[in-house]
Amino acid sequence: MIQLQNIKRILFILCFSIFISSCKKDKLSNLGISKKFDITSTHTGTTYTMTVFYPDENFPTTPTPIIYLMDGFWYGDMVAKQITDLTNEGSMPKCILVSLDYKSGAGVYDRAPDLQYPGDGIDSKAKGDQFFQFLKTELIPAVETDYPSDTTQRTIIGHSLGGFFVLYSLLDNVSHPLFNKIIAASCSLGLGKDNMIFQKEIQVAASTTDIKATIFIGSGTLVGNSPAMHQEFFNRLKNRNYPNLKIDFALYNETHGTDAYPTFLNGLKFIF
Amino acid sequence: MKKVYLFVIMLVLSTTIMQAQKADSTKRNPTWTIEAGFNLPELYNYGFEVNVGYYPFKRSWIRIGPSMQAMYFFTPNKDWFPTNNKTTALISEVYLNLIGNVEFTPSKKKSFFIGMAPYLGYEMINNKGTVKNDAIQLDLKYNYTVHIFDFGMRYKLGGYIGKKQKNGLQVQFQSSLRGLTDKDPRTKAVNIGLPNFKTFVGVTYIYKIK
Repeated sequence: MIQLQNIKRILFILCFSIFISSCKKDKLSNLGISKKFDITSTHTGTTYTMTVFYPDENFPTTPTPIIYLMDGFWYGDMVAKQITDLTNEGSMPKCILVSLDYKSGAGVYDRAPDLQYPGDGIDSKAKGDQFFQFLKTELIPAVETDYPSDTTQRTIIGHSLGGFFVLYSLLDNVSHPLFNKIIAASCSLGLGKDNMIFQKEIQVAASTTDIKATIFIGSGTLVGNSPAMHQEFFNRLKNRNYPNLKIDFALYNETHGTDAYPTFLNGLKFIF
Repeated sequence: MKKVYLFVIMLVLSTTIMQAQKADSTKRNPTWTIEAGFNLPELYNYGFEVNVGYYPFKRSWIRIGPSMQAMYFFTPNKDWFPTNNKTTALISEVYLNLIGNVEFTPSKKKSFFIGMAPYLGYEMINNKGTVKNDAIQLDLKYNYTVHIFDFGMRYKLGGYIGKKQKNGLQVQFQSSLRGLTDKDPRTKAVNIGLPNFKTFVGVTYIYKIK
């Protein structure tokens, strides 16, 4: 009887430990210093809540690479932890992370118009071009006034629609890229009739001889035709032989919901 | 739609429990069973399973034994965005699990049971198809296969019906716990509906062989 009670106790402790460890989350305050601020865009008419994180006790005083993260409400903590870990192991320099969230608290819905460029077969609410102007003329100047930026290493990260946005906005501004380093995960490459990002890539190839950027693209293998589409898109960009384009690609045995983690992690290692 | 599924499950379960009340306590513990069922992780992902159970340890309130589970899930082609792409696609998933069943029969007269069953097993996922679009010279064929070791937990409620107590019905909830070992804080806990952390509800017919 006593033995049975002991077994019960051990089982209870075991189950409780598993539960607690599964819920444990690294808070930003444990990883470094962070600050929040709100910014309302005149371009999109949306108020965004930005979280600025740096994996140290104080923000830097010398120029530092700044990483802008789309869908921060999903990936903010995850990427902050990745940056902290990679910094600690010496795989990348210390960077400032700027995570984008929506003040409305409805980022899951509000993100879609921002991250899609208008086009044939695209939702009529799409305003990716205006969102890009928000980043260029409002957010980045606001952030880089307050924090010292190494503008040669300005980075953007996106997943899914965010992945589409970061790649499409590069192709749309290829003569003067706003971001030098890009991580695009599980991108919505099939958006628009006849896949507008493939059409854009063909147009850019016809009019441009170089793209000055470092790009890492990743996708899960369990995302329908997405891995094949990503492979094809990567091959097309790579085979253009742009002299200043540094690009890599990887597939992971993951789904659309889980491929952000390995893509971001390996992307950060690659671009830095 | 979710409410409809919930209603169907509740209907099956309540019918099973009501029928189970007629049970003869001497017949309610099976030694060998075979189960066949339909499982639903998501509305666009469907699955079937066959499960052979053996219960060597039996008392009036509990029975314990292993079972071998084979499952097949498939996700048919779906165009998520309106494109001019011509596509074919099929995601197939095959699972072979060894399950340790612990089933409690709380009532002395009813065959109604509550079960908890940890499992471990092998999972194979194949994702293949084609994409064509002449406007952008796209002509792709793809075929990706993933092999995974998996473990998790199955919870079940059910009972046997009829005088002979040969046939039973069960509803089950099964979930992979492999996510607990994942470093990604978003997927660390159990993921609902994702193919590589399979979680589903289902309804199963049970036949008591012996």
